[in-house]
Amino acid sequence: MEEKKEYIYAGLADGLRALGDQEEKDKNMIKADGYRYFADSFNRMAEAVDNGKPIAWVSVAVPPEIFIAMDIVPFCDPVAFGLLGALEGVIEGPMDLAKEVVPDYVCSTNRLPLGLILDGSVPPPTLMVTQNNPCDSILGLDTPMAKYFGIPIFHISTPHKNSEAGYKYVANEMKKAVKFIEEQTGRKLDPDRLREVMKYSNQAHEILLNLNQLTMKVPCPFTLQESMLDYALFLHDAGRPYLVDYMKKVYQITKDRVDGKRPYPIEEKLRLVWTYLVPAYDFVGGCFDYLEENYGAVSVTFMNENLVVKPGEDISTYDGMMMSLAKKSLMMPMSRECRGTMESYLDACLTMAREYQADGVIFAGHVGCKSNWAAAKVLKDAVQEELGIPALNFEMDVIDSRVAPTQSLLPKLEDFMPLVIESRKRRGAEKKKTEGRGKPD
Amino acid sequence: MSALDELTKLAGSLENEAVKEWKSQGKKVVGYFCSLVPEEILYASDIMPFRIRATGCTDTTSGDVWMARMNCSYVRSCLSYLLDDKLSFLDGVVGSNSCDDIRRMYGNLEIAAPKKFAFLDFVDVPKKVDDDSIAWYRDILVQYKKNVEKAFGVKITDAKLKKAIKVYNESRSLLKQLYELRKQDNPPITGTETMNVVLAATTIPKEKFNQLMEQLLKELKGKKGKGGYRARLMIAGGGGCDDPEWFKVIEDIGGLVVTDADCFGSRYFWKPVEIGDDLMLSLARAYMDRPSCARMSNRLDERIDFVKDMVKNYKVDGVVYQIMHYCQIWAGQVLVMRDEMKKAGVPFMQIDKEYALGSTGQLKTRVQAFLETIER
Repeated sequence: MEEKKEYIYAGLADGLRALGDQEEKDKNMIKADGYRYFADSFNRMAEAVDNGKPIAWVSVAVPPEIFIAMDIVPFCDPVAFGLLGALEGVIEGPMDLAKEVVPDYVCSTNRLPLGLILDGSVPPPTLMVTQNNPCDSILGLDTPMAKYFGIPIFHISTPHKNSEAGYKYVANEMKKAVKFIEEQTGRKLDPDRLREVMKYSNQAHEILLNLNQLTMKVPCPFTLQESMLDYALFLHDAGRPYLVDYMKKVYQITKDRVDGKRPYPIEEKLRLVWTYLVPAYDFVGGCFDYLEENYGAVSVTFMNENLVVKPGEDISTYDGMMMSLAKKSLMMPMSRECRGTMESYLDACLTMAREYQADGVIFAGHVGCKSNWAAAKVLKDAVQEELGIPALNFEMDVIDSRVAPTQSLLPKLEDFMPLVIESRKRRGAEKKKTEGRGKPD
Repeated sequence: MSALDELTKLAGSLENEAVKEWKSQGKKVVGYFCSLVPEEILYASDIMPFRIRATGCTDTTSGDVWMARMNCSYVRSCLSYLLDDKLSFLDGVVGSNSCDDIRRMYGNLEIAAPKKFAFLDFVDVPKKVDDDSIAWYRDILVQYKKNVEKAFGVKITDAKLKKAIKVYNESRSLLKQLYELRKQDNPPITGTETMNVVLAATTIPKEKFNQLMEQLLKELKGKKGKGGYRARLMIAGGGGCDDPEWFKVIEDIGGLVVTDADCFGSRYFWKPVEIGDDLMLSLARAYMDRPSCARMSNRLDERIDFVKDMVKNYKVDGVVYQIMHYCQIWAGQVLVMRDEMKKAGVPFMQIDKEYALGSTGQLKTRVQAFLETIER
């Protein structure tokens, strides 16, 4: 009898659940739940593999709603596997293996899935659906990877700029993607079922938009440390009822903090916005704890957490749903910033820093991301000139701590923080002066 | 002076004699990125299209100020040349989303030097080839044409556009004839010389180029070909392959570059524009449907077949797959290209290189080893 192949999905789910348990012990209930929900994603993968259920690997911003409605498991491999950087000793082997077949400047989040298939840790998925954004790395590796492992693949073409014509173009691409998925899996997309899924997705997104409004408040009631898994959850589970429940719970805890019914996570002295990524290997403490413990600096949000997508405007018809999903996919983090013009990139980053009332901006530049790095200088200048706050750029790899271990990042933060303190003081004094001007003697 | 010498001389400097002569007539020159942006639209406006490159650039300081080390040295070199007035004869720059680096380089140029060039425009080239994306590209080109007309106060009529397409198709046909000669056992032209010819095609007025090409083909007819080489090689891969010195490194040690799949080579001219009723659609279709860059997500099989066909038709002994260091779109393709060549029994070598050749010692050693492998 052939021995059953053991894949890593179930083990990874256990690892994430253990992180959740640790967070619960530390009384971080939001993070605890986040890890557990994400562990469920890996469990779903393990079950799908065991039961022969179709699995679709998708690139960032491909809407999970379509797959959930078709009872196919969507799995955003660059993000989901990227989170493995938080677990010790998991990624090194497959990353090194991938390096043998493609150059190491291909983004690590794309090399890791390749390495995981190569070393037999995971099986090739049933199919792949990928978008031609946000970056060349996805564009360059997804198709070869599909061919190498014999995986059927569909590419959703996206325009450089957002426009009504562009939304229509992408909506049509979504329809073509559905047709492809139907052909590959033999499953039909039922529009009524999609509508039901989108209702849940809309609810989760609506709560998220309201939650963002709370997060912007000073002091910050919901920190980046707590929210950093939400992007991954929305990429996999937007459309599942439990995401609505989770978001309701998170919103309520945050609201209670604002209303004085619960304590804030930390006593805020300074606010930091990470305009790009954060090191996944630092999800447990690391830079964030260092900043909080030494400076009272709250990391408020980061690019991928800054979900500003509006829920589906029209889900009454199939065309309406496809249009809504097209708009959503173009406004998802990364698709919004990394695609398109420098102007739209700056606008997205500066708006985030402004709305979340940053005292300082950190650009943790993933070495595999050329488009962001090519805009890093312009962004730094704009943050300093237009917002009047300091900005720090440094190199790291989002999942591979070997490129820039936490210990190598701390001195950079140590040099940067006095500038943030100074800036906050200066702006505080200026604000006082301005307010004082209008008052009677 | 022979046509080959003249073309080589013209390719050898960016602000060449043909550019100077064109400008002396009060006419405009507009630089563009990359081979997916139709030159015919500019040419129909009596503007000379100039494919931007920075061949020979050894100082990327200005580009490095704006971009990062992980942006390829081709774009940092081009940005440096644009900012350092090495391309000051250009009256405009057309960017495109060919790749992340070129797209962001254009964004940096807009911010760093918004007034340096009278005309700045950007063309959104889809990254997938099918009827929908071709229709999308057609609409993009219609807008681009309007932008050119407005900026330069010209009217691009169908008659002018058709004439431009015919001139360009003539170039394509002449270049194809040149490549045909390279199929011979003893080709009358080397890879280095051919690259100079193609470079000239992208940097001088096309009618002048066509005249020189006709003369070149006559000169090559019956010319004793190059023999005694160690192996017939094809250059595949891509990204900033516009330095004839790179081919010279290969040919100086006995390799003979007989063909390529490069955008400063065959991919630039391989297919003509089929003239239909809707000329903008004709252009969109032709440029999207040419042998593709790795940025075209759904054309991998076609790219592999193109290389395989070239190997067969040009009796290639080995494929040198060159990648501009940090070019992720070409880097990913290695995964299958190496495998496919192995299956086909074609020796394959991958070379990561910087835009500026610098010291050629290492390259020579690699190529030498590859030639020895082929000879075994």
